[in-house]
Amino acid sequence: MKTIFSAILRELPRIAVIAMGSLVLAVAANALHPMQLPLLVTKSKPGLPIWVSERLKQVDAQGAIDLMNNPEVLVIDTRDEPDFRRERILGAISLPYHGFSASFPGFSESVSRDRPLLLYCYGTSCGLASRVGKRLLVYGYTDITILRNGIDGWKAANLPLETQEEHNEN
Amino acid sequence: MRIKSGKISFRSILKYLGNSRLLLIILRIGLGLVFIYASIDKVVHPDQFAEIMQDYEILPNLVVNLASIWLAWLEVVLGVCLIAGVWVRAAALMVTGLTIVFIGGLSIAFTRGVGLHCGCFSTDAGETARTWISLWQEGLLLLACVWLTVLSLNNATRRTKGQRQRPVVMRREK
Repeated sequence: MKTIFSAILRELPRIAVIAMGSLVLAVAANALHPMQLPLLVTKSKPGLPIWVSERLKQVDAQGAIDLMNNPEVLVIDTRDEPDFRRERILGAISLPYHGFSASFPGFSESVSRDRPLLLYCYGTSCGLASRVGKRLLVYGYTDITILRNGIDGWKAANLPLETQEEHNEN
Repeated sequence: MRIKSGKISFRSILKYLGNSRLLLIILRIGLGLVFIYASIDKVVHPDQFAEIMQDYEILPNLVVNLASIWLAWLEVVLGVCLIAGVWVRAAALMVTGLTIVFIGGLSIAFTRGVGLHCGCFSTDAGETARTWISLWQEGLLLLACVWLTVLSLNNATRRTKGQRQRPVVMRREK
């Protein structure tokens, strides 16, 4: 046991070299990657490259209402399918983050790349809308806005929702 | 393997499995390939891997990007070390540590009730969410990593002992 422990101790310098070497490699590879990430997340959310954060616009509930006066604007719910079915912002369609790869082909066929999109998810700390927004930017969509406080902010402002029952009646 | 009176004893099997050079080679190349395969999607989509790491809710957001890109390349380097046979003992210790960290991370997330997919081999958000039962895969990986570590350390210990016990050849003075 003592010999094994001393063998582990002997490996510590090599472990440090592997750890530091891979860190240097990772930082260099990140600098050359098209989805280059900021090494420390101070402003945006993790996993968002700087160019994506700069191109995703943000609005609060009142700003969203102003935006939705334009009939061209398409409201997209990025929450999970059951939550979307239960209640959603009036006129929203579902493009869930969990299941994006399956839903996107149908979405891209029916929605043109230059159409203005308003994305939302659950609440303040929810990052699903910006994650879907990033994917849409990568696939060529140009005009993407995120509803800052998600559906929670929308409800707090007493703005209209569509529920399952209303949907069934229609 | 030592065979006593036509029977193979359990102890001799354990001793064989803990010392076999062939097994050491198979395990290090196999695990090297597993770790390189696991790193491919993370290296190609570092942003999506960072999202998965954020979903674990273990690290503060500040360091999630750095940790995710580092982890992906650490797997590449460890995989190359294992396949090439360079610094095998250090690499074996590190892959064992990494697998323990993965299992620990998944367990903490499950305990908190966070439903997530592992991000072990794919960064696709549509992947089926993991459960306690699906942890057997990581358990198997951990077993292989521990075994590789034992084999490589045994190898080192044997070599050290061999060096100590090497008989000193005395030259006869003329």
